[in-house]
Amino acid sequence: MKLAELQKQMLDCLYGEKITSSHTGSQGSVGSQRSRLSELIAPTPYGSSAELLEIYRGSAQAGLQSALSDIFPVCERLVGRRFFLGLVSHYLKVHPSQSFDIGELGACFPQFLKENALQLNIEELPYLGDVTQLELCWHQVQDQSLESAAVNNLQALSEVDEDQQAAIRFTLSASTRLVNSIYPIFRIWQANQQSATDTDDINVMEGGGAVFIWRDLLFKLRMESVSETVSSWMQALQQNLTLGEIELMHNDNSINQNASDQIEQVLPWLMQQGIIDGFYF
Amino acid sequence: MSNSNLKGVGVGFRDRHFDDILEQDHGIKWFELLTENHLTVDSIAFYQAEKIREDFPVTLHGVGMSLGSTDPLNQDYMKKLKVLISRIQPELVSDHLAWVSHEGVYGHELLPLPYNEETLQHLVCRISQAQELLGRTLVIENPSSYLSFAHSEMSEAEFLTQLVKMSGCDLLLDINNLYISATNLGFDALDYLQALDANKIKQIHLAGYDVQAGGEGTQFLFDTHGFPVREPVWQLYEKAVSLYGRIPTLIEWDTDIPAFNTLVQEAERAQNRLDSATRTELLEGHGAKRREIEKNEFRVA
Repeated sequence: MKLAELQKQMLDCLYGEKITSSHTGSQGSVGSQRSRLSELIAPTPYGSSAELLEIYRGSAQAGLQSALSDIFPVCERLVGRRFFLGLVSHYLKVHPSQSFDIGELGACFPQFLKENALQLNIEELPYLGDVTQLELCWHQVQDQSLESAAVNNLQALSEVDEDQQAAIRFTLSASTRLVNSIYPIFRIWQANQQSATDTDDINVMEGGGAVFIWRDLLFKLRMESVSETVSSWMQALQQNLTLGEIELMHNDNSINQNASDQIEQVLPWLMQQGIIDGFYF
Repeated sequence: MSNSNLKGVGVGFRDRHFDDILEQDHGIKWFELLTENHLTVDSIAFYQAEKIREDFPVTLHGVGMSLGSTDPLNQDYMKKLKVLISRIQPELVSDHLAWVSHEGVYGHELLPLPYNEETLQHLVCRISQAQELLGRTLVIENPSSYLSFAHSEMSEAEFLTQLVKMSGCDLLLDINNLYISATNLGFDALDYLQALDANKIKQIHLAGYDVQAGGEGTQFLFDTHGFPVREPVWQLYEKAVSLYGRIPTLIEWDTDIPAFNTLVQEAERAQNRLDSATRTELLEGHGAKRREIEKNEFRVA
């Protein structure tokens, strides 16, 4: 067997079902594949060729499970360890790792849970997909590049002529994520941290909102529930709108607060937190 | 034989030990960084690597180059590694005699290779390519093995010796891996030590293994990097350094990571074993010259 074929078969085994001695017999294409692979493995006193392959499969699966468990500890806590491993097992069959960075393994997990809630038997936990989305964003921001140098650029903002201000577009730090949900995912996330002190029951129908994740200017990872105003500003910034367009949009939509007031309140906060890290025309 | 800036015993860097490393007077001479943990430029992990590098020599040790894979080298990985190398200036850059991916799918597990002419030619080509891309010599580590392939045509030691000659790479000898493989697959670890070219061994790894249940009441050794170095590995280490001389040695501990002080104590044990084994060697008048080891003196299986 050529090296490429051996590697293909071995990797299929790693992402496949638990290997037992019966797999050395012919059981369809996977069974016969394992049979051919098993023939290439020299037996040892401590295991048949199938058992030796299982050592590698078990070790690989444990590593992949551990990586997902590290990214989604709240999800694991919500569904229990055993059920979580079942979800992971299904997930890995559909989304095997395609990056050298094991930290990217969970990129499709929230969507997978949302799209397959019925088959995965998690339809009674409708918030699970959004909670895992929050966890994924938290994990992603941790490994982002730090961009504090761009903050200096903001000092030049005060020097922009008044008639040019409407044309300003802001750049957002790569270390920011916004997650919207109809469920109280921030409270759920908080209540399931190891350091959590809030033991009150959470009514999952109490309503949700926007949760914002970012790394502040002291490089501390932060997560906060944010107001509708901040959330809509963030969405506008993500759409790369000019300051003039944002002002116009908020004058049209806002009932309680005009856009000028918002600019005075929201913009400085976004800058002080390092969420906006620069501007251009 | 040894890299000029790497002396004595180092330990693997883990981020939870960052403050201890910079603030304590611990005596550790150098650190090894897990390449994949530091590849994102200007991330916190990248910054930590740079801070460690300001005070200590470092080496980079990877698990993701997938040198044995028949896929093309992952250019994204190689580019990021090149940037990391240029910023960190490591003393050595190492990866494994293994593969972790095929057709773009990653198993994140160091997987075994058949030791035959096809694999040898493939690896020589891959290592040469990687060395050219990175502009430096790679250091290749022997894996821990739980199986061997019936169509292997040479022993792992013979394979590595050929690989070194043909590709110009250097070797990282993991004594724990060697002990595990020798015990599991039933070969003689001392023959293995004697077969390698001492001049090409640039680094040694030490770690702890676990004993696990195999089929029908048997046991096998499993590489966890989650325990103190076991006594048989210490003994094999002493044999290795008495044979090769004072090779820079690293304590690896990757799972159930203990307090930094535990790693410091383990490094002190390694330093004592290194001093003791190489002192004996000098007193016997052999220096770094190879000596024949009585095979009955030490058996691994």
